[in-house]
Amino acid sequence: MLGDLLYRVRALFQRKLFEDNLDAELQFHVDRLTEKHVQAGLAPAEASRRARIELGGLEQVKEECRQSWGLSWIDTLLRDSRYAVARMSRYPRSAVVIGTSLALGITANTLMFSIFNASSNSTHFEKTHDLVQIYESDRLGRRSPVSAPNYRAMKELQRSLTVIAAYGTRVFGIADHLPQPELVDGVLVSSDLFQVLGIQPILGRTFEEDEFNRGGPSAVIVSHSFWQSRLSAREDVLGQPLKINDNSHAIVGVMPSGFRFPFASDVWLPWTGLSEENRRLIRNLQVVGQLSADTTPESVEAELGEILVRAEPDRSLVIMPLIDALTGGVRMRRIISFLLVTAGFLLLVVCLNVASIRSADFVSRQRETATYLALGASRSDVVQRFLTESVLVALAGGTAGVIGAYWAIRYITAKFASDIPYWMEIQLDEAALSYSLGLSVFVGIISGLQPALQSSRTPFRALQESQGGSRRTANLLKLFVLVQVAAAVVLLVGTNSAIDGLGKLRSRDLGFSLDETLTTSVPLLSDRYSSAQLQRAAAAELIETARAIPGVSQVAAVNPMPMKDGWNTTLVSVPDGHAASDDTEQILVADYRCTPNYFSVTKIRLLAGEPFRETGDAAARREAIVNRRLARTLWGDDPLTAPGRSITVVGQPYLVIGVVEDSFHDPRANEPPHALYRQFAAEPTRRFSLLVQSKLPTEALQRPLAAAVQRFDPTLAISNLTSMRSLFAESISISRASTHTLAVVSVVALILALAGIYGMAASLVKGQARELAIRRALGSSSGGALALVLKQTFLLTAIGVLAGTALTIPMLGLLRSGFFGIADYPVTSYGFAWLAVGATSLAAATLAAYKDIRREPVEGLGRQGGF
Amino acid sequence: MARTDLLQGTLDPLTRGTLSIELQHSWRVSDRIRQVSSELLQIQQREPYPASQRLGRSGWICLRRGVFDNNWPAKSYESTRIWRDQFKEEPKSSCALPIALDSILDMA
Repeated sequence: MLGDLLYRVRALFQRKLFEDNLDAELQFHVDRLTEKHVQAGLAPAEASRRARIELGGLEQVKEECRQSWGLSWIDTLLRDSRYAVARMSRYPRSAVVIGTSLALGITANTLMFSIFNASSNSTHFEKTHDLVQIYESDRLGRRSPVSAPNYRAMKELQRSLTVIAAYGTRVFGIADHLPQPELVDGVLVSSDLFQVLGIQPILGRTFEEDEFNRGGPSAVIVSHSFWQSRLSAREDVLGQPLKINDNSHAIVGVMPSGFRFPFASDVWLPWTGLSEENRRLIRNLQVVGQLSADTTPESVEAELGEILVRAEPDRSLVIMPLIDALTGGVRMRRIISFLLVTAGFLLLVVCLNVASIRSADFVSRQRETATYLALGASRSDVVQRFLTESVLVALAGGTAGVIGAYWAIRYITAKFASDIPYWMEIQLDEAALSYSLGLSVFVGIISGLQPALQSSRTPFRALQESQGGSRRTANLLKLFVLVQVAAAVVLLVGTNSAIDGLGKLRSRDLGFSLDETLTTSVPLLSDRYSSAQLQRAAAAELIETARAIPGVSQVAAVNPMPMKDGWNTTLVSVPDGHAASDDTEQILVADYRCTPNYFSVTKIRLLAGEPFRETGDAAARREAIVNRRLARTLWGDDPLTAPGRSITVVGQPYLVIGVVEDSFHDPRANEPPHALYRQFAAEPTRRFSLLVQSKLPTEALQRPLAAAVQRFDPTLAISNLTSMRSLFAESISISRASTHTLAVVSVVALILALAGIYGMAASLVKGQARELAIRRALGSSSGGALALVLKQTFLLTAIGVLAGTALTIPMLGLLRSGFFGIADYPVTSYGFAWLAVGATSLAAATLAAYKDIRREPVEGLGRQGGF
Repeated sequence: MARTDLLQGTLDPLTRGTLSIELQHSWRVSDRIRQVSSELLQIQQREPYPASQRLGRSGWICLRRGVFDNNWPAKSYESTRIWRDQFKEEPKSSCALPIALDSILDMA
């Protein structure tokens, strides 16, 4: 087997030697035979002739021998390729058009495939598909992380996971090895987390058991990039102290390059005291597990669900693949899948376009083909020759497409670096390359097969038919155009709706103002801010220092910051029984702490009652402000009656003093949340954001603010100052990117569909050239001919548009699941798509027809078919 | 004795056998087969050439530069080790035909 292969390779690369040997061998035979005949008395010339006859045709013998080398298919391929290249260089236009459209199609598909592949499979986890994330869920199906007691119960009792572990993301302030204290993302981990993820440090070790005990040794593991940038990549860092939030931790390990679990973490710390935490209502553990070989996600859900219900009867359990949880849930996955489907649509249009160009091209070669067939070539020879040409062009287009995808990926990864999770490596790996290679060959074969079969029928029929091709070819061409028109309509309606939705999202009234407000988050991480009293004082002083900066008019504090931080939630009920609507006694609400001027800085409107007061002991008063939606849920239709009523927040009574307008926390949410505001000074938090109202740009304020914070506490780290506008832009960047991608794909598809219509109209005119010429010779105006072409095009476009419109219904459903603000009946989108496709296709047809009609009628007659 | 047309699949083993006995060049193979089989087997002069190419591809024989027939310089075939090994073990393994013929005739 191997010997045979080696022989063939040798025959391929030492072709000359093989040929020479064969020549010599046969020549030797002829010489010996000639010699024999001469000895028998023949004249030398006659002897030589006789020898050749006896051997039986030198060339034929050689050909038989060559076949034994096992290279005949390569020979054919090379011959066909040479032919294809010669042809392409003679008629470069169609090759360039085909290559370009294929390149566009392959670029889009390779790019989407790479993104899809990166989002569904990660080399950063040992067994991506066995890892699951576990959530709790309440009776209304609202998901939350897991509480410590529930996690411990699962860990003890469960059997269906090989390992289960928990983590929680935090922000840490690190002042060591830096000119200025900085905030870094970090993670508190339970003992088995690294085992679940299948990751080992490249330097040092993971955590030991006693490091998880309160009062045990303080340890930290750092990321590779942290080790390189802050610790100068020294080998002797192990055991060295690192001051985190004012506490010294010994560095025990360095993670491999690229590992930033779960998002962009730089430090991992043991989660101490997890075994003693007994508060059930604090649900802050992200729980992950690894499925054992013989379990399914469903059986895990059933088993753990049972354990959870035993601990808390009204809770249930939800599990999802870890990778989905990290991608930002199902929504992101849907957007990516949608874009992959869109790229598929584009490829369909490309295929049909190429097929119709090829069809016209091959049909115009029918004479050549017929001659070839008449000379004895088999049909498969002809098909093979055409397919070789088609696949070659497709491969050239595919190569250009891969190069295009490479640049597109570089652009995307650079532009959206902060949006792409660390474990999602969008790259042109072997999978993507073989995908595009396979796709190119597939497209080459698919788009070349029909035209090749069509033009290789019996020579007689081919010669008989007119140059415009048979009726069947024409009909097929019409079908291609029809499908392209339909696909263009689908993509245009989708794009227009998505752009519309993006516009709605951009101009959406979030309930608060985005102008002239900058924000920065301040975590009071050091132990010197451990009590509420100290936190309150620190916040008040920080606000005061910030307000003293020239150009700043107001400074407010809030936690959590809308659009930036995650949710803080709590449970609210009315003391006298059930809420007016909602079937639960307790309502899950977004829980905000803010300073009294928060509403005036953000311009959230006060609907009834009064705002918080600055003076007096806020903590003693227990006052709350609710939003309109919460007031309506608690007390029915008129929210204005709320002030003066009381509510219970996790068992504590509060007096509602005001009602404010609804505002969003996540700009892409369908509706604003139920929200409860409490005064920051009454119940301060360790983490909060400052909202700075100022007409100055961000850059002008960044330095004075940092200086002010430094003066207040040199060890305190704050995040970069960001304007509310850019915070908003950041929060919708994925929607923006996906909509733009969709738009580019649709426009390309539309252009290709138009090229298809143009080609079809041109061949329609060509096919009817004789009829049109006779009509015009008999005195009909060229307008009549034009009308004929337009009528046909219009009919075809109308059918295509109708088919496309029908297809938009499932497509819009798909779009709605991933994109914001897709209308139920996007009338304007339909209008736009119909108009765009209708008008441009008629224009393309007119152009094609007009070019032909301008010729003299005699030309039209003279050009016509036959021999 | 009447002439017999060559049976399918027998050309390669015949060529191989002939080349292995004494001759190292395809040119007299057809004559030789005719002589040895007492004119029973008729093969054309051209036929050993593709056969020897096939044998080369299977690794049985390879070309060597040499002197041949009254000092005519030419490349000639020589059997490879694969061939010698195989031949020692199963002398007729490459020609399954006689066995097949025997078994069919035995059925009659």
